[in-house]
Amino acid sequence: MKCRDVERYAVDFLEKTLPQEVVSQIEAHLRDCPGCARLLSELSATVKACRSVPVPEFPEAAWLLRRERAVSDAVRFIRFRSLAATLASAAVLAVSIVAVRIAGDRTSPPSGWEASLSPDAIVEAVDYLETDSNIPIRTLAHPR
Amino acid sequence: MRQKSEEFDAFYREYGRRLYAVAFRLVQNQEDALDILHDSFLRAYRHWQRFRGSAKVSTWLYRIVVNLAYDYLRRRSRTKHLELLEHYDYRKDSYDGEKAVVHKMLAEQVRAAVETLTEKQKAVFVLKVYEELSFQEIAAATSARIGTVKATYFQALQKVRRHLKQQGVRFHEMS
Repeated sequence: MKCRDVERYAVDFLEKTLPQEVVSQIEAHLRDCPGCARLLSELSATVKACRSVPVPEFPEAAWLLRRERAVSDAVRFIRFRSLAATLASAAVLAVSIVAVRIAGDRTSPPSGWEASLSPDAIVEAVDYLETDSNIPIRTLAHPR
Repeated sequence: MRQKSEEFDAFYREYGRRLYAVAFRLVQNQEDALDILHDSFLRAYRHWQRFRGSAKVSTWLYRIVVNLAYDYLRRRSRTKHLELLEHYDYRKDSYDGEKAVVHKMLAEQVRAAVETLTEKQKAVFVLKVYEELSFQEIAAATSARIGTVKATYFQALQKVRRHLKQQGVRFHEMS
């Protein structure tokens, strides 16, 4: 094992996650290489030094205040989300109703269209049926 | 609504202090760490139903905190607003006088050393050294590959070691 291999395995060595075979090779190298031995020892001491520094404590009362604020903000968010969901459902429903009505208006014939025909047009149509098509229209109207 | 509020309260109790510690170590300022924690919880709660009960919930929470801390650090570097450690107040009660001074000095040296790290190095360093997450968990929390996380951690550790050495920290006294 060479010095650059020790560097490559350094973090896993410190974490003790290497297979025993590799650990033995590293340990054998460390016995002959004071530079690598010092490096690993200092890296380990660095972790130890950093861990010895605590996060500053936050006063309990202030912490509770922060927690309450977070809880009230979360509740406000949930209320807002429920309201938004209700409004969105109502909007979807309204749009659907309007869409259905518009589609209905486009596909159905205009109601009472027969009434819009003039009497002259009816007479003309009956004449055509009687004279040109040879269909006895009165027979059709009053079948026996 | 009351049940939801209690659920959120329990969620905050369970993860609050751990996530605050991560946020603090990343931004080195109590007020900002608390703001990050607050925003992280609200962001997490919006998607809480998806992650509730999942084994990955803590990794997911770490990821939110780290991302918000990145945003904060970027904003801070843009505005050059550096009011670090204004409320830094280590508990001295547990130390005697001389020990307290030495410890405060070491704390300041460690803080300065960690401040020399890049965003990504800092996140990996904090999650490994203080939270003691596995490399796999850190990879998930930082959206990186395990190999990259290991390399980043080694670089960060080297940087902190060199900085502490330059500051006159005597490692042999610690081991």
